[in-house]
This record gives sequence, structure tokens and C-alpha cells, in this order.
Amino acid sequence: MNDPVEIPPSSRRGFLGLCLAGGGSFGLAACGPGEVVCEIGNWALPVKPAGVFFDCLQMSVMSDAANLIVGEGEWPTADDAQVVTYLDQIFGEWAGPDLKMRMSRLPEHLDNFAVQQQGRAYVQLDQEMRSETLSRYDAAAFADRKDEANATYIEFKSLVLKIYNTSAEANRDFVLVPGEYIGNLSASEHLELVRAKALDFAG
Amino acid sequence: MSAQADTDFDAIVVGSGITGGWVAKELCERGLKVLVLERGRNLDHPSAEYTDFEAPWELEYRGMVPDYLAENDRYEMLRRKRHIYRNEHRQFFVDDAEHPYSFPEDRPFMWTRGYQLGGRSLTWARQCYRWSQKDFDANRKDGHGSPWPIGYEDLAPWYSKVEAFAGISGNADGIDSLPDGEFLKPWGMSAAEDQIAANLRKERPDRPMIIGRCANLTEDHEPSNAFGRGVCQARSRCSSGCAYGAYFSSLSATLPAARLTGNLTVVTDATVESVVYDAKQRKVTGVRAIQSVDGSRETYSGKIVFLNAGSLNSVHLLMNSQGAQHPSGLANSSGMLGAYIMDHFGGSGASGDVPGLDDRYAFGRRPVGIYVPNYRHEQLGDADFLRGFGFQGSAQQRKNEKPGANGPGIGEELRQKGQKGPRWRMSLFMYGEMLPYEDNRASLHKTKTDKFGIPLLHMDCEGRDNEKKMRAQGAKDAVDLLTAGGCVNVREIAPEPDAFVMLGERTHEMGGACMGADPRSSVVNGMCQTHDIANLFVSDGAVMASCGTANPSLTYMALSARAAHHAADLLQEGKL
Repeated sequence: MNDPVEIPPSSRRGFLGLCLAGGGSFGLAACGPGEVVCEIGNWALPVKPAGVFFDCLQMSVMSDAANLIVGEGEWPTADDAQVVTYLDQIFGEWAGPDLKMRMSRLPEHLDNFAVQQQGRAYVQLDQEMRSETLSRYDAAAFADRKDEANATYIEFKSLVLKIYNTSAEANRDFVLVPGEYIGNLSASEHLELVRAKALDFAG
Repeated sequence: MSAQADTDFDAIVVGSGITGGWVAKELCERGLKVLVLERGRNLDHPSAEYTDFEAPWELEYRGMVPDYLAENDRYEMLRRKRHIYRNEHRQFFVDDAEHPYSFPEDRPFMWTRGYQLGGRSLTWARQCYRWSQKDFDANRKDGHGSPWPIGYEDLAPWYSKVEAFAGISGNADGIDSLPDGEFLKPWGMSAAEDQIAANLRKERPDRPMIIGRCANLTEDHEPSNAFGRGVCQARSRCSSGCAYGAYFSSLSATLPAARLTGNLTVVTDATVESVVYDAKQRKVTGVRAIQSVDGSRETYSGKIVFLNAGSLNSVHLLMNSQGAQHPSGLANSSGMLGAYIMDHFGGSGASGDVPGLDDRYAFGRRPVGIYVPNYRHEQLGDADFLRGFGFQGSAQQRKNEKPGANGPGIGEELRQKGQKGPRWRMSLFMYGEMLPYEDNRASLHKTKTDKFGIPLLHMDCEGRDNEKKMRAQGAKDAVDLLTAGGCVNVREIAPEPDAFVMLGERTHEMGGACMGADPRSSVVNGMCQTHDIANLFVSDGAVMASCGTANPSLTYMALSARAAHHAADLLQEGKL
């Protein structure tokens, strides 16, 4: 296991400078890992407290993006599945120094794009605009995977999906010990078996 | 369980994997005092290292291998096997950075290893197929490699023996190129596979699609009861270790059977660096091993020595046992030690949607897929290559309830993408038989050594034009099979025609100490006994003279059991 790596402050300073240049005016002076004080007066997105590894800006932006990626409907949200909370918990010991650096800059990349597209920082956009911005960013990222910022987003999305898809919340019909394989069942026969054997059947 | 009280044995078995386990069991049951030396750590069965009872959300890091390992160039080759590179069973695979080997920069070789008691038998794919006489005839027929000195009839009773003990599920399919065996009840096909198989019986009767035969117990199996092995629970978590012991491994079956005799000693954490040769007697007298813990060296004596370290490690060991009488390696008077390295190769195939079954579902996670045995033993009109290929694959259900794989789109758009198309999609992947090439070689690296000062094994191998042509035909055939099977939206999987054919991707590396009748062109005889040294045996994949298309482990097991009894006979008769 490697040692947790401190993220050099230059990335956040750069981020702040960029946002200010683009018209953003939110403050982050006291917001670091383990701290919960963010100057969030003009944020439009739900604020998350700083985590073990990520600061409150990173936690907030990543949680928002994860929720938009997973979407809302008749299924658990990324927040329900604690996706970014889990990512934050493991990131210090799981990720390597390069990935830590890259992922810490994700809000900065999103913000650059938001400023370019909408004239405002990502955190200042309302939900509809954030969804539209992320959707465009997603399309642009997959169209040019070699760009470092795009590659970082794709890595983030991959992690979000892996964590979500392996969460208890997204696997309420998971059968740990099926006991048998039957390859040709009707929907009702299948449902009956899952209902009988799933760990936490959700219907 | 390490023991060093005794250093004199009737037999020494180097390696505790699938073949070492069989040799140990058979020799112990014949009454010989046997030492098994394993370079890796001890594992009990069931082991605290098994993770098979953890739900996906309970797995450390959710099964994602720590990213920092990749950043530090660890597990360089295993990372390419994305379906295997999982954190929950990473402990059962070797990190190349800890146990390096070498290859030319432009000809990489993928060597997947497992250094623990039980070796790769913990993580093998468990598919078990008898080879047919056509496989044993291949070298003689087209003149490549060393002709096999044995045929199907020589091995048939030994196939039966190992199947009856291991517990192999399957159908008696009555296919010439894939002899039937002693089977437990087969796994069922899915509705989609059944439909395609039925269509192929009508449309391509020479290319049957059958359910795979595998070493997972499908029913109560009396020979396994003594070792507490239970019926497979369809969890598909085999590589994480199986607390039920439902799949065959040396850890769950052969080593416990050997222990029951009271004749087995196992020493773990001991890397055998060389075989000791006595020039006066013209026999081997034992092996020298390095204890991993402190680097100290120990010599173990035995009347016979079996090398079952895994094909390449057995070859490596013979090469590193070079001496004044055998400067190019022990048992290498032919000069063929290290030659004819082979592997099954693939890279091509196809996938297609299966229409009409959107209301049919499968329950459980079957530990084996379908199998299309080699139907190209005889050269067909469209073949511009020698030998043939088969297919493995399965029909998968689309998962509508979760967002799909990482691709463009967010939210509803991402979910919709995962839901497009029929419920079932069938995939086929080619398994080709490569030709044995004498210059596909393993050798000792001239300058690089491992942490013990042993020269690294250097692999210089690749598939050639024959394999590339076969791979191209494999993609065409896969499309044809799926189309004839009734699939729609069939997508061909075909690499660039000249793309490098890397060996080791199927983890079926074999050859290097090939079997043959002629001591001038082969390393071992038909009984896995080295031509040069009567009491030295090799009975893992190193002895394979050709690679066939069927998964080779069952043949390794049969060869090993047969060789062990032959060695015991010779010892009893005072001939060793």
C-alpha cells in the first residue's frame, strides 16, 4: 500500500485563478480535506462536506456529476449508492500519485468547459444547465479521449459506474449463492427464484 | 504447512499445481514417500485468502485493483487480461515485477503464473476435453514438430481415471474429434444457446455447438466426498477460491488425497534452482532449493524427480541445471530443450443478437460456456493454412437495470444504450492450434538474473503467417456460425491481418521439453521420462508435442497420472 499523497496547492490556485478570470467569484480559502468550511454563497449545486481525500469543492462537483451520470428514475441515485463518498474513502490508499493529481483537477476541467459554454463556473449553474453542460462535456470527452482533461473525466466516469454497479443499492436482487443454473425461465419463474434467494430483494 | 524434518524421499515433485498434485497423489498411493516442493506460500483449503463469499459491495475496493500498482508498472502483463485482473483474486497471480522474465521488445510474451500451494489449479478455467487421435496425428500428418509417440488409445484409460476422480460434467456428444468421457450431469444451455445449437444442427451439421465440459461438480460425487468437496453453487466466483471445493484443484482434491496416505511431505516457499545430477550414476539424485524466507539453500534427495513446475518453469529449471556434462541444460542432448513453445491463440470471433427470446431468462451464474470443437482437422476448401480451430463463448443477457459500460452519454441516455436490442447476445471466440515452430524458444537470459541470481527466462515466440491466416478465417467462420444459428446484427471481431499474435494470452503455454520417440529430436519419451536420464520425469505442459485446440489440462492430468505409475513400476522393478 502506498502513502497518501498531498495534492500540491498549485492546482487549486490555478483553478481559482481560472474561475476568477472567467467571471466566477466563489471562494475556497478554508476548504480542504477534513474541513467543511466553503464559501458557497453563490453555488447553485448541492454542497457536500469535505471528505477524507477530496475537499468540499471536489466532493460537491464530483457528487453532482456522478448523480447526473447515473441519472434519476426508478433506481437508486449515485448519492443513494454513496458513490463519491466511497471513492473519497478509498482514494487516498487506492489511487496512485498521478491519478490523484488528475482527479483532483476534475472540477477545474469541468469549470473550464462551463465557462467556455455557459459563461459561468460549473458550481454556479442551475441543475438544468449543469446537466446540459455535463452532457456536452461527456460527448466532447469521448470524441477526443487523448486530451488529458477528457481522459480524466472518462476515468472518473468509469469509476463512478464501477462503484455504482457494485453497490448494495444497485444490486438489491443480487443472489450470492444461486445454488443452480437454469437457462430458460419465464419472467415470473425467474422473479420467483430471485425473490426467494436474493440477499435484499427490492421487488 | 512447511516441513523440513526429512530430506531423503522416494520421489521429489517440483510444483504443486494441477500436474504436480496428480503425480503426488498417484505416487503416494503407490506407497512412495513423496516430497512436493512449492515455490509459493502455503494455502489451506478452504483458505482465509478466498473471497468467494463476499458480495460485490463487500470486496476490498469493490474488486478494483489498486491504481497505484499500475502506476508503478506492477502486474504489467496481467493488466492486459482485463477479465482476470481483479483485486479479489490478485493474490493468486504473480506480479511480473516480483518475478520478472524477459522477451524482445517487439515480441511480447504473456506469462500468467500462480505461486502458491496449488499453483494455477486455483484459477484455471476448468474446461476439460479429451484430445482425439486426430490431435495426436497432427505433427506426423503435416511434418511440423516432433511426432507424438503416443495416441488416444494410450491415454484413454488415464483420461477415464482422472475424470472419475476430478468430477467432470458434460454430455456424451458422440463427436469424433472430441471423445466422450466419464461425465457427471452436464450444465444446461441458456434458451439462446439452445436455439442457436438447434439451428446449427440443421444448418451446419459438421460444426456442432455443445455445452462445455468442466471440472465443477454438478452432482454428488462419491470420490470427492472424502475431501469435503460439494456441488457447485453456480456463483461463478471460481478464481476467488471456492470454499465448497466444488471445482477441482490440487488444493481441494489431489493433495488432500495424497495426504491421506501418510506418505506426503509438502515444503512451501522453496524455489528449486536446479536438479542435482550424478555423472557417475547418470542419474539425478535430488534438487537444490532456495528458501524464500532467508535465501538459504537446501538439497533434497530422491530416487526419482518429477518436474511439474508449469511448462516454462520446468524448462527453465532444466536449463538452469546445466553442468560440465550438459552445458546447454539437463536432459538436452537433442538440443530441443526450450524449442517448440506453443499456445492457443485467438483474437477473432463474432457476436450477434439472438431474436425471439426477450421473454426468456436465466438464473444463476454458470461456470462454463459453450464449445464448438475443432471441425477443421481435415483441410477444407477455404483453408489457406494448416491445422484448425474451435470456438468458445456464451450467450449473455443484457442488464437493463443498470447503466451500461463506460461509453458516451449520461443519465437516461446512458441507460437507454444498455437496453437497445434483444435481450440475448451471443459471442464466439476462436481457439486456434498453432504450429510447433522449433525457433519459438525459451532460453536463459545472458545477463539478467532474478533476486536469487538465477538467469531470467527469456521468451522469444510469436504466431506466424499460418496463425494469421487461420485467425482471419476464424472471424469469417464465427460470423457464419452465428448467422446460420439465427443471430442478427452479427458483428465480426477481426484484428488487422498482420497484427502480432502474442503467445500466452490463453494461459495454455506448452512445449519446450517435447515428447517424441526419437531422442535426437525430443526431450522426453512417451512416458514423460527424459531420454537422457532415466529417473528424471517431466509431466506438465512442457512435454506437449503439439497444442491441439482443446483446453489441455485434462491431457496434462492424464499424462501425469500415467507417468507416475510408470515411474513407480520402474522403481519397484529396480530399473531406476
